[in-house]
Amino acid sequence: MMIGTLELRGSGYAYAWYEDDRDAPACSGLSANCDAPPVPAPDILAIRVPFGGCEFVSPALIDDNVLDRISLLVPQSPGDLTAVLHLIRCSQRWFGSCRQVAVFDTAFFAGAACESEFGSPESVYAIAPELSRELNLYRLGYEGILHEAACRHVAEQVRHAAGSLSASRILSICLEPRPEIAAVVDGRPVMVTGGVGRIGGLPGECSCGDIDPTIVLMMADGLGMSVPQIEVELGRNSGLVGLLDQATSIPDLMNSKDETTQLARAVFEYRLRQACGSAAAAMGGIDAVVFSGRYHSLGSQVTEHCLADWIKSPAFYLFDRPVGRAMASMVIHLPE
Amino acid sequence: MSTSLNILVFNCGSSSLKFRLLAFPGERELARGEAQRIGPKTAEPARMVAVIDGDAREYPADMPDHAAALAETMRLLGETPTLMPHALGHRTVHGGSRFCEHTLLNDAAIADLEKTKALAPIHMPPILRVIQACREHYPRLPQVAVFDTAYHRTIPAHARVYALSSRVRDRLGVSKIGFHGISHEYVAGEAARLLGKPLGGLRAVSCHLGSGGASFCAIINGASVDSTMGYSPLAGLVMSTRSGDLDPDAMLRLLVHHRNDARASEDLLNKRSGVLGISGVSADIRDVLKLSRGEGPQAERCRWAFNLYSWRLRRYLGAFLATVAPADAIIFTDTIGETVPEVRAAACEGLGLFGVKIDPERNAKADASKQGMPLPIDVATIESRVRVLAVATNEELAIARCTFEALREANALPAGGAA
Repeated sequence: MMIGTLELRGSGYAYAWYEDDRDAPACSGLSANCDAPPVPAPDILAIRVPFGGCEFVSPALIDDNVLDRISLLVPQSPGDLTAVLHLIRCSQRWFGSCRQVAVFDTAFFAGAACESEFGSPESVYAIAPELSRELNLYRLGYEGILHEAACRHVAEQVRHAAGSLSASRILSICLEPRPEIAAVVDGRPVMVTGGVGRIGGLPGECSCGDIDPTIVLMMADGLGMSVPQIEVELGRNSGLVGLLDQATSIPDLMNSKDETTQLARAVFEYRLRQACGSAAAAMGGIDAVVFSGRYHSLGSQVTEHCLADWIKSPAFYLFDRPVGRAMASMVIHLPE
Repeated sequence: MSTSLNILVFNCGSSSLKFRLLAFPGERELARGEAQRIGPKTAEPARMVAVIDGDAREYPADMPDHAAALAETMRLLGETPTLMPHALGHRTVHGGSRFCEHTLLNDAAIADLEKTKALAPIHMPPILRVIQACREHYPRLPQVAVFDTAYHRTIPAHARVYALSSRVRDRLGVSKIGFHGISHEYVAGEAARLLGKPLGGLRAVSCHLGSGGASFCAIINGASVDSTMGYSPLAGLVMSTRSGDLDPDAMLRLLVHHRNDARASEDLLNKRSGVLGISGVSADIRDVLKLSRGEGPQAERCRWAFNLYSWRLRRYLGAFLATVAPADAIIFTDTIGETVPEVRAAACEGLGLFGVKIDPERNAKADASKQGMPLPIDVATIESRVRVLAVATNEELAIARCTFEALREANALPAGGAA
């Protein structure tokens, strides 16, 4: 079976076609516009959807009803969802006959976050629950696909290993340009650093992560900035680029010996350490740690600087597959 | 002539003025009290509640503002000649970036202090009114501002800086400041004494859980290295009416909801959120806990509210224990930390990885508000690597000590006083 995957990338998209369970894609590439990818129609196509709110707690076969439901979510994530709806419509035109599935980054967390009347303690803020509902203020993370796939990978590894290994409490560290840490107990997430959108949580390459909420109000009131201006400032000009006054990647920062980068590196490592501590408390301990995302290979450095002096003897794993491969694994076993 | 120095400490709230008079260097308490319900008339009249030289007093008094409350306090103390103060110490919530140390106040310092009003709009205006009134009516009494923020001056840059562009950081002048430092410093000293360690070697998380505000402080070698509060006292834990943390995307949605009115969002997050917002019935977590034991929709919501309150405590405890690892102690203090065992138990649940294990029986008995075991008390099991201490805070004593030290360092101990 050929499984196609599509995800937004800048103003275009990335595609990767996988044959059955093979790790390497049969073909892959980037497109800067909405031309059809130069590949035959797959048997099933997975399209990454960055936000599904509480509406989608699992992948959904795309039909008119699902498109309508995604459209209703646009006000909560206007930029991302407008672009992905366009991509879906293009893919329907290109590959009309194949089954197409929306795979949501937020679904992994939405299941646990939205199942109760008021929301789980992790998913909400300390404001009136009526207001949380009205404004859809739920913490749903933004790297759920990779967290879920990485934790499944750990579970498989443990199953195949001899002895009495247990991995019911997994610290999942997703090292992407916007890194995210989750705590997963028996396959269900109980804590995540990501917030309502993509700015909060850990500081990223260009996003500020969590800050004192008063600062946002000061930007509006004291600096006279509009909401879109603040969004750009906090989401694109902050994080490592804000601390260093120049663009850098997380690997470049972690490997830099330059004195001028030491504060940014210390900030980044410190925030990772604290998030890992929160995750450990949320789970009541840690059985395994898994690193995923495009910078997963930094796992040993993160372990050395953020974990080694306080976490004793958990098992460490790397999940080195890209998000496209993770999506392919999710949809391959979906019922007809 | 008196051989001791009487230091009068003021701890000013938005509608109250607590005072305590202590004789130094022996730290003997001479008087204490509180002017309550200061301000516009409420259902009950303003009143003074005090213990003067061992004699309990309570009476209604006309105190329309903090200056009147100060005048009433001084009149009351003036009834007993030996109770006249020689120096004044003021709990001062915010020192801004100008005041890193407790400061002997002169006109220039007071003028600088006026600039911090906007940084803590609930707390600073009444504090400044009291300081100004003291300056006007008792110009010969030296006054020391003792800052809640001063203890946190040791927070290192990597914990202090926000990951914002230098343009925004510089224009707003924002970095983590931290609050409740007077209490955190005091209980850290008490914990070191209890553990038989030098304060300079203490690694701990101090949990100041008040009925109003609340914050944790990470302590390494006796010094603050992090606080759950940030540039403002809004950040961090769930408080009585303050929300604590909200991520930036959530803040932006709130701003849109309030049509870009930052004041409306600030008002919501400071005054109508936290325990009050999530429970819908009370700003006091003790009420919420009590109601959660019932049945029906209100009890269910209160159970959820208590879980949310506790969850944030546990999440931050994990973060701060990872910061100070290996910790010697977790210290619970102030109204909730000293009197609500359920909160201590919920906060410490699942922290075995960090070597924390509470003894449920000892913890249940450690309640400063009942006839339980007196504080300070260690409520951890014998095998727990980290001691879990309930310690009564004494901010007024700490303020008096800081005042005494600041006067001595400034070579400004009043004549007739001790030392």
